[in-house]
Amino acid sequence: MTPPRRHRTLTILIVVTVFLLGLDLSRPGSTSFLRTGAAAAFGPLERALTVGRDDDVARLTRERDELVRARRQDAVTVQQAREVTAVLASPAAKSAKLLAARVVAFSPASSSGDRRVTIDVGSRDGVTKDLTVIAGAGLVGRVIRVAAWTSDVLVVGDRDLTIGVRVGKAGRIGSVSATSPVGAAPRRPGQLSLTMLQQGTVAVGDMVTTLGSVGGRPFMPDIPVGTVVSVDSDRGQLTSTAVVEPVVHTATLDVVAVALFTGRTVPRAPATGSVK
Amino acid sequence: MRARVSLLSLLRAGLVVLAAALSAVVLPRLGAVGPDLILLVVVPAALLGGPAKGALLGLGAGWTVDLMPPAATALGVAALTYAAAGAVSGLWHRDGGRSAFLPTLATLAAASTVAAIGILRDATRGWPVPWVATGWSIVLTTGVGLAVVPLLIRAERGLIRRRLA
Repeated sequence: MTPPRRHRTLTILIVVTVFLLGLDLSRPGSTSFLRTGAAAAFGPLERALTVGRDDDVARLTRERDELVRARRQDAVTVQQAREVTAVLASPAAKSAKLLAARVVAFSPASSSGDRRVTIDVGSRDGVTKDLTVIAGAGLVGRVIRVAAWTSDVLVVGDRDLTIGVRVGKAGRIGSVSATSPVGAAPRRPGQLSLTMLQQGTVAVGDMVTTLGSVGGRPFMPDIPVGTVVSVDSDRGQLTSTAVVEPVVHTATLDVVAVALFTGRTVPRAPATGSVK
Repeated sequence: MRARVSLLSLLRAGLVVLAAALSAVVLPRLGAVGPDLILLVVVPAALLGGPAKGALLGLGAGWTVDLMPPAATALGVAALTYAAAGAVSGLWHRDGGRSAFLPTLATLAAASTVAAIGILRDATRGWPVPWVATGWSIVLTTGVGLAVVPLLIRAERGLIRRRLA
């Protein structure tokens, strides 16, 4: 290519890129064909590059070790799904079918607000958008994009992810996100912010679990999200805010499970009131 | 337009895809910060071809990064970032120059460009800027580039000499 021609090509390509960027920002989803096509091409490459990592296995937590063991026996059998379920203490997860998966790729470290991972199951395995992804310890995130053999998961700690939660034994309602409220003390990287619906209803040590969504999408109920480690001082804000330490460490994610939520099919029987 | 696909462009495309896949699969498992492997492919090409060629390859490499699952929030951001980095490192292009100093300077400049755009992006969105991680990323990229960039330049010069470019 001669230099003027190269400059013309470069200019055209940059204009096309800016146009696509604007399209992607203004109409999310309009460029999904590009992402899905690329995921179908690059996904298998990422799966192939993820080989056995013996040194990392030593660092895994006990729960994850059990998941790894279960994973090694057979990836997608019902038997293994039962074992993964047994690891989870969550009663809600027991009613769901679990699909074991392995994390194959992470969002680049350069993008500070993005926490996304790619897992090695896709639409051919029965994964659809907005399914809950869990690990042995608790909530990992939700599926945001599905390709043939891989899916992308929005992980707890991403700036775009807000989770409805219940806090403490009383089950008070709030929401958890990675964006800290205005004026609150700065959070350490990886910590989350809890915003309660009411003032003064949260204490240090409270467990935070998911509230659940209609039909279990994107979040199934009663899955552990984290623990309250400190409560922000009252600055005249409308509701209480607190810092939450997530139970799942996203930096060392390896074996996870996609919860294929099956809604109930048996109608609930009404009960008769009995006054003595 | 001479639309013949040369061995050199094939090699560069392969290296870009490999670098993007490795940065998504391997680097995050090794630590929180790592060297920018994409830049180590873009900088040698920019040094040999100048700003326009560097920007072109950077744009293509950035699109690969944008589309590599898990794909980024906004498509095209990495493409424009690496295009800028390629153009900047192409400023150190000298005809027939064989200085050992130029590749290091060009890598440092390219890494700083990527870091600066990242800081700008975080700051405008109101996110905390990871200053320490950004600094380490520049240092690691320049350090690894010290060894890799001259090696790639030599390999690409060899291909050009044998008329395979």
